[in-house]
Amino acid sequence: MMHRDDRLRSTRRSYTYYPMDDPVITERMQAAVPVEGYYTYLLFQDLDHVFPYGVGRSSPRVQIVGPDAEHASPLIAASLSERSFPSLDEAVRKFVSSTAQYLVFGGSCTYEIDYLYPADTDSDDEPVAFGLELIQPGTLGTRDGAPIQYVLPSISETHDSTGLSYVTLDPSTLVVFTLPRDLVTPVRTLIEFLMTANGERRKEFELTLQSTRETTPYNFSAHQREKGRLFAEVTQPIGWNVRDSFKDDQLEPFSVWRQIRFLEFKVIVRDSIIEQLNTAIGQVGKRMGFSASITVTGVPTLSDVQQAKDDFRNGVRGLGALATATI
Amino acid sequence: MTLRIAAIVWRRGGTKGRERRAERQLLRSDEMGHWSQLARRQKTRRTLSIAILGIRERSDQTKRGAKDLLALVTSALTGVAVALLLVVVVEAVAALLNHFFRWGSLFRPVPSSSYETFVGAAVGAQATFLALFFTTVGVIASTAYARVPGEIRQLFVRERTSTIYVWNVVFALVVGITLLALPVVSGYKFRALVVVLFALLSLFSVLSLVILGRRLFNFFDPSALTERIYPEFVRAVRGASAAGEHVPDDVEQKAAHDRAARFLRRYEQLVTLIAAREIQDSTAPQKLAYQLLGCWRLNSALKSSIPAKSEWFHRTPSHPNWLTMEHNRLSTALETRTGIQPTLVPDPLWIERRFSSLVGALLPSLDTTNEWGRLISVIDAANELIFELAKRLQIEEAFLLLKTIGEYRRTVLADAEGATDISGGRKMFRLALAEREVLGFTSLWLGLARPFEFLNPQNLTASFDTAVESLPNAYKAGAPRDLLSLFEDIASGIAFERKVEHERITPDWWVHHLCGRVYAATIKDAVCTFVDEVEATLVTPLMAKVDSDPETTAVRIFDLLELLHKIEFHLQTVHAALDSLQTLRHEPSADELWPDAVLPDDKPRALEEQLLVKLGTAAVGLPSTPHDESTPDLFGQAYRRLFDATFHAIVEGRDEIARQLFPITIAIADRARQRLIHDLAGERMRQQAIFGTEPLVDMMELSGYALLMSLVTGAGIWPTVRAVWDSILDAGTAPELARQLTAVLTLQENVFALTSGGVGRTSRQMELTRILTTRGIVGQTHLWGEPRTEPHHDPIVATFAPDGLMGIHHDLSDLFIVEYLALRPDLAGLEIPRGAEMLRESIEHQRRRARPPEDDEGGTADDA
Repeated sequence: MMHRDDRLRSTRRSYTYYPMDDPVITERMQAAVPVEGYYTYLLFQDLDHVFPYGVGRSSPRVQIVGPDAEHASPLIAASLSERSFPSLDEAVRKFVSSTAQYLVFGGSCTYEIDYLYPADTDSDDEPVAFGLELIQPGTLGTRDGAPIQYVLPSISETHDSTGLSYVTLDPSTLVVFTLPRDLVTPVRTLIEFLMTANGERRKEFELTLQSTRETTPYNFSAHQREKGRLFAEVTQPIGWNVRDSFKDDQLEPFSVWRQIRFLEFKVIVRDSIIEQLNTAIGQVGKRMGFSASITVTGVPTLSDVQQAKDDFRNGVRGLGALATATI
Repeated sequence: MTLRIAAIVWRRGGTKGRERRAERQLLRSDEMGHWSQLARRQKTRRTLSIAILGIRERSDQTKRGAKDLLALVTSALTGVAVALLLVVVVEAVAALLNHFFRWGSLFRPVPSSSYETFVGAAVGAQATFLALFFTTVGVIASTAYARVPGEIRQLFVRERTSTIYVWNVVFALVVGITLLALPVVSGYKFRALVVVLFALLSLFSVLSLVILGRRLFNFFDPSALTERIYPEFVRAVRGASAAGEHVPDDVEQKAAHDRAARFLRRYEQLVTLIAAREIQDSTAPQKLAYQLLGCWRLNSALKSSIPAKSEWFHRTPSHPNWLTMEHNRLSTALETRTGIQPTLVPDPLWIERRFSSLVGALLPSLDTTNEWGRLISVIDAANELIFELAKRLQIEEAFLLLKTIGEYRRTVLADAEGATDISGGRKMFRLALAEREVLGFTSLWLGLARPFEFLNPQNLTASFDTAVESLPNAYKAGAPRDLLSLFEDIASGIAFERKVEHERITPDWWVHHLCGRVYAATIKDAVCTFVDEVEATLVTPLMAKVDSDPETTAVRIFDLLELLHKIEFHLQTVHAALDSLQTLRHEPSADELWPDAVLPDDKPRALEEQLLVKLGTAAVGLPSTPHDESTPDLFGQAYRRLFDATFHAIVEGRDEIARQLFPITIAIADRARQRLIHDLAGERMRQQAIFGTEPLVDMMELSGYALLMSLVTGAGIWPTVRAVWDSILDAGTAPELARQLTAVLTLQENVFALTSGGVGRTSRQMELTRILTTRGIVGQTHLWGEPRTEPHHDPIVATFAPDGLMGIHHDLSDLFIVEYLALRPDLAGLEIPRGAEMLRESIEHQRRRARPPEDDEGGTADDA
């Protein structure tokens, strides 16, 4: 969400709002990004590192490349940042990480391209700036095949058959980010599992409590072992190790291997988001008359991951060094 | 775009079927019903397993019963066969005579009246046998087993062959009574063949009683009952061990534990019974002790195939560390405001503790007046077991057994502390016992070092790889406890990886590194613990002991010196093993937990020096009476040992210990000389002169070494040696003793035979040659290609500098004569031996050579 300059006219149709008084929309939004809960929140936090902090402090950094890079660079930085004086590095880091969190928890994430014109002109031919505005997950819908955003009744008087107010969106300005296709099902399974596990923590507590009051067949250690196995199976596609919460039967190499695998997942998601972002920038560039794209250097790549895997198998580096390298 | 949006909208519950399997399992695991169901299943499985085990056990019993029956039948049938042969012969004779005589209807139905007298008598006899049998059982039970627990009495009463016999008699009685009763009731006529069958059964009973009756009396000795316990115990241990691909489950492990515990209880009862007997006979306790050691040996052999956390082991509580507790456990405890119950962990020494206690309880029973040889043989067997335990790195187990023997020795010695009149045999027993305790440690050390002699990194990595491949493989490796536990963890971890990741993740190098580290740590701990234990258990108490029993002290010191020598030698083997394991270390891991290769290399030498000083003290108290071949020559051994130790201390520059040992050795040498006069009394004069004067030569030789090494090192103990001799010669013995000493050397010079003392002196000179050469003190060589070396600045040292292959040309005894004895003012004009004269000339030659040119010229003038 870019910092809005009052001297510019926006084409944006979507809204960003807090649905405090609307339980239906609130529920939709919470269901779309189900972060509430212990395990989901751990994963949410870990995904914040999809794009590492500290990028840009040394020579490897985010760069705008292409024939019109110099012209496009401040425009792109401004489109991704909320600050008055945007930093490209920080803006890209934040955009990629938050998008990754939305993708993993919501499956997809939609942004609206907001073309900005000087406020004193009516022409829509030459935008002077643009922004990528997040359409809050859970508020997007369709009506007669066209995209809409559900909003508060105070924003729009138009409502559908269920009584929810909405605004129509322009499909040509929407950019949809998605997970790589092969990750969709396993990630969805994982999130649903984590949500279930969040809810079950209370039950585990009750089982333990009951066992302290009376003799029960409940076995805490066996329960932890079983949960550890289930978590390990479900998290296998992305390599997340639930911050080593379950250690039964897990050898040290397994834990490090999982860290390498999770790094691999983060790299894949990061690269995918940047690729989709570049597609969106390309779309904007066509309208605004520039050709540029984002490149990132100095971050772990898939070839680094492959190297780490090879080193792991061949013993070129110790487990400690490999674990450090994945952070 | 719209369609695309619709396709990727994230729906709650979007996953189906197989994808939600884990979720369903998670939900199920959070229900108490799930755990109840698991508990029910486990209970059912346990019940089934127990039933199967019961059936298996019953089947085993039946098989064993059949085996015993077969033995009994064979024995009985032999008698029956002989009897039948007799019958056949009689029958043949009868058939022959049948041509001439008629014998009625032998094979036709016969009226009961024709056999009822016989059967009646036989039935009466059977009943009498049965009564006799039970009377005998009753007598034994009411005497030998009067005050024993019911379980033991049951064991005796239900002795299997007795049971078979009783059933046979009962069967015969039933047949006999039927033969008598049925014709009376129904008028039925049995054929004569049935009568014959009855007769055979009666015959079988009679013959069985002969065999059984004899055996029955053996049960006056309760140790006979252990024959039945032993195989049961063996079965229990085997039941707990993994075999092939079968790893016993919890139920089997628990059943094996219960069975072993039951039979251990019986062993305990029998040991109590035998130990409490009024009339002590060492046969039974010896038999029982051997059996217990046998059980222990078997348990040791199979221990590495028993899962480390098996229910086989007795459980002891282990309290968790709140500061290092895993998060889930900690947060649950904090939220529920509850404590964490201690977990029950296996006690890996539960069997061994009971065995050592049982053996310890039996040892006093073995110590009967004239049969202590049995006790020693049991301890020898225990020492063999200690070797085997150590070979398998079951060090704690080995120490348990050693402790038992040590405690018993201390009890025996404490009992004998105040005794003034100890018979020769009893004294020998105490010496043998003292020796055995140290030998136990020696066995442990040799066993411990044995596997390291063959340690090969390639073979080791191959065995590590195999062991972690699967859980059953881990139990085939024969690994020590810590390593086995690691194998299990890695094998389980790899199985987990295969399940979760569908491939093995853990790389080989990590397995090699970790297993190598644990193995190296095990080796190092074992070695350091052992050396510490030797010091704490054997050396320190000995050093602190007021020497009231010099013989026992001397025996223990001799054995300890041997042990320390072995320790010193095999520490090199251990170093080599640790170096080999170092090749498995994964250097990039920079693992700070890898044990260093520091071993207590200096400890054996330090302990040896302490012991030698103590031996010197004890040796003074040892009787130097003429040698008696029926007893060990402790005095002679002490003298030889101290002389050798003093020599090495002098030439190796260990001045402190040399300074302490020299006066003692000189004092004992004089006593040795006096003893030799008696020992050689029956020999010819020449022999007496040659061998009887060796201690005097020893005294002079040692003194010569002390003088030379003081010149070589600039330190040494020569002032001490000189002071000793001064005190001896200043006491008015000077002219006479000096003449005696030079006469002895003259005599030795004229002996052209190869004597033991001469060989010893030569080997000591070779040792000196080696030491001087190492220090760069060599004579002027003249061989082609070898440069001339500068002679040592000290003329005496230069004289003794080894000369190439020729070594040292002079005797050290002569050095003592030339540089001390002959220079004493009160011995001016002493006639010295030829060798000493030659040495003096050589030294003078070196002195002239060492003087500055002007002195040299002057010297030449003087000489002229």
